[in-house]
Formats: sequence, structure tokens, C-alpha cells
Amino acid sequence: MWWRLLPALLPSWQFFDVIGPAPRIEYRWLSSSASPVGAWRPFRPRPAHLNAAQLIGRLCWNPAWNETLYVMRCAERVLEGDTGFPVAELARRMRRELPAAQENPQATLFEMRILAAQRQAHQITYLPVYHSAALTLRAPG
Amino acid sequence: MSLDAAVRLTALCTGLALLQSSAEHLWGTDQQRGLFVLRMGLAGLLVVGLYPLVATSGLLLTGAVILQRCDGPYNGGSDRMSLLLLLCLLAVHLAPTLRLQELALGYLACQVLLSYAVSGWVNLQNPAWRNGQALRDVFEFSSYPASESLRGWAAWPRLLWALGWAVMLFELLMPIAFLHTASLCVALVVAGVFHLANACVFGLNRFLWIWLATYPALWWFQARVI
Repeated sequence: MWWRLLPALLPSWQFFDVIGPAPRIEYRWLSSSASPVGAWRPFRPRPAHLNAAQLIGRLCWNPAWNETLYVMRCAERVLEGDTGFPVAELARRMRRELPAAQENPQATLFEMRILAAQRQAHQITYLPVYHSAALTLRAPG
Repeated sequence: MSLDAAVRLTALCTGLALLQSSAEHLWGTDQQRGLFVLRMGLAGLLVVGLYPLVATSGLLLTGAVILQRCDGPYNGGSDRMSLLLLLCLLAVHLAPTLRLQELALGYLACQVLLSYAVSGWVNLQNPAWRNGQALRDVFEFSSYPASESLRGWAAWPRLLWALGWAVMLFELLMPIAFLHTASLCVALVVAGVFHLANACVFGLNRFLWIWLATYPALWWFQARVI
């Protein structure tokens, strides 16, 4: 475990060096027979607008957004081809956060997909990169 | 500023930054509250200056646990800077001679300078940064804008081009600003405004506090070597 600290001694310090494809995480409710029962919805959508007081307040208190940044980093790793830990972590967080009862009382399962938003010529395209199997609302085991 | 004062001020600011970031986890949806309560206790020790060796090694150990659980950093660059700060503070406390203590804090200061200069240099190599496309893409479709309305900034390409060049020049000039006390003072104020803007626009609040925590070491190092 300690070996994980070693890169901190010699960080790369490259921020925003390349603006690559950006992930969009979406989920959709499924019935018990795994049929879709609703439209795709964004997971952890960003707020439409933040006023000055909110921007200042978030300097000291920003847990939800910092968690969103971590979730987005997991999705970026999926875009980079890593479907191990990041997919399990995303599924774990979705199981905990998705408001199944409020959004769709019939739903027993859900699925997630990750789209890659990227610039192609002069427009932004959204390319599906990952599509999960049907996932249970409760963690297996 | 003496070495002792710089170490104390760095530890105080680091402790406050880690108190803030750990507290955020207590109200989040994460289920590792015990770990972050422990980190708050250790960060509190760092703030008041008690048992610095226990505090820094404990924070490094819990930092390694977080790296293990998240399979990497939870909050990217700010986690990396936190760990670097703690490693350097630990080295200062373990160093048997004054010269080695200075070396440990000086290494932190050099890395802070590099954090700006390397970032500026790497961005300067990228044509998308030079022509303003990179910042437009950041606002238009990246994961970072903290609200949907901020994506509207992508419609101001000239402003973003100017901001992109201002950021690259500021980052590249940081090592030169280090050569004089007055210019370093100005550069640190500009750097603070830069991190404040990033915190507001991209929600990177942890970067603001942890980078501010490195400035006492930079200030001390400038007086020590120039």
C-alpha cells in the first residue's frame, strides 16, 4: 500500500494538457424482465446555474461536486479502456444514490452507459463507449 | 522567515486544508466516515502543532488507504499536493541536521514552482492551447464547468484565448518571479486569484486551499537561496 505514495514524491504536474473525450454517465430503469421502463437520465447532473453566494460558499463546502469529479474520473478511466475497478465503483455509487422509489416504483433493475463527448470538426458528438448489463439495485452478495 | 516559522506555518495551513477536505466526506454519501474522522483528528494535531511526527505519518498512512480504496487519487492534483506536503513535512521532522531539514522544505518549494512552470510549458506545446481551442473545449463539453450556465463561456472565444495565454504566461513566469521578493509577492497574489477563479468556475476548492498551504515554504525558500 505504501508504494502508492511514491508518485507523490515526483508528480507530473500536467493539468488540462490535452482536452480529450469527456464522459457522460447515464442510467435507465429496467423492469424485472430487463425491459427499459424509462428514458436515459444523466447521473449526477450539474446544476443549471450557481449564484455568487453559492460560488463563494462552495470554496469552503463542496462535497457533492468533489464526489462528482471523482465519479467523472472513474468514467474517464472507462473511456481509456479500464473496465475493472471504475465500472464496479460507478455501479456501487449508483446503487447507493439512485432514487428508484421516487423515479420509478416498478423498477427493480437498472443499466448504465457512458458516452464520450468530443469535438469532431466543428461540432460536439456523443459516442456510446460502455453499456452495462442489467444491474440490481442491491449489491450482489 | 525562519525555517521553524515556515515549517510551522506550512503545517498549520496543511492541517486546515486537510480538516476542510476530510470534513466534506462526513456529509457526503461515502461510507468511510471513521477514516475521515481519524484524518480530522490528525489534521487538528497538525493545526495546533502537537505530535507533528504522529500527525504527518498518520495522515500519510490514511492517505495511502484512500489511494488504495479509490484505486488512485480521489481528487487528482490536490491529493498529490497534499501527499507531497505531508512527505516533506515528515522528512523535515525526521531529518537529523538543519541542512537536511532545509533540503526537505526546499524540495517542496521547488515542486511548487515546477507545478506552475511544467503545466505552463506543457500547455504551450499544445496548438489547441495556443489558438484558444483548448479552453473553449473545457467550457463547451468537458466535465469541469460547475454549472450548465458556465458552458456559455464557450461562446466567447477571444476572451478564452486571452485567458489561456494569460494563464500560460503567468505559469511560465513563476520561476522568474521567484528571483525577487517583490515579484514573488505579486506572483503569489496572482496565483491565489488564479486558484480562486478555478475554485469558483470548476469547483476545484481543494486545489485552492492546498496550494495556498505551500506558499510559506516558497516564501522561506526564496529568502534562503536568493
